[in-house]
Amino acid sequence: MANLLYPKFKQALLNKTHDLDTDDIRAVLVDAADYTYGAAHDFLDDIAAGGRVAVSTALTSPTIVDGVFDTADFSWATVTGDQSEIIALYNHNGNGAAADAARQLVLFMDTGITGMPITPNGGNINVTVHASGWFAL
Amino acid sequence: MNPNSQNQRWSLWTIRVTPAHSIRSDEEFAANTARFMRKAFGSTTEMRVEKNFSGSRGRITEVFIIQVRTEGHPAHDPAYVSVFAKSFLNFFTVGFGVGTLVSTVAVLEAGSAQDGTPSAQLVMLPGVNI
Repeated sequence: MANLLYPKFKQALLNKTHDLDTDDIRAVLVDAADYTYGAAHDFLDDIAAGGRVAVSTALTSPTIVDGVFDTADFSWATVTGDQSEIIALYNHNGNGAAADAARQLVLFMDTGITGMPITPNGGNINVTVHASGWFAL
Repeated sequence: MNPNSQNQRWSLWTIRVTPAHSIRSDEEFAANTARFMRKAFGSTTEMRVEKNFSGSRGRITEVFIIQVRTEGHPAHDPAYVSVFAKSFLNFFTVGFGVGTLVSTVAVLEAGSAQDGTPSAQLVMLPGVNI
């Protein structure tokens, strides 16, 4: 596939629905056997719960500088489950979202990730965000 | 490169240097530090240097933050980290004078901590330009 922003997120961004440096942005580790990217996907419930191998807590130190979204590195703790190939970002509470059906998918990544695919072994998975951030608009 | 292959151990070392005297240019600092770190850690290593300013000691002082990601070093061993921390202190004290503050923090990112827990695993993301 490719690394890309979900089109529905772009649309929501242009409709000023999101504020990425104040909202609760989380990263989810996904098993590609249970999820295939779709351009029409908009919310977290498009990724079946069984395909979500690990979900982070809120990413810390979010910043937006010159169109670049960045956060601190983070970890998924004591992860078990299927081999995983995808990392997705989503907005956990943006626009008042309180359920997966309203939590906007932001970013899909499955390409060029060092250390992926990864088979969880019950330990922590440490994730290093690129020096130039998650993505640049 | 697969940082999660068996028998590999990746670690992130963060060395924070507050010089006693600003007698080196940033370029000289980076070049000398790169040479030293290459000798200390070997070639399977990437290094990043940032320069910040701090309000410590009642004045504005320079603070260099060096981050080294490397393979093969037992960062979970406090004695090993301590030896490295002492060598960093010696190196930067020679460069910046007595009173230079150096703190070293090492974090095991991937590999076994040899404490009976499952090995940590590491994922490194690419940047995405839309």
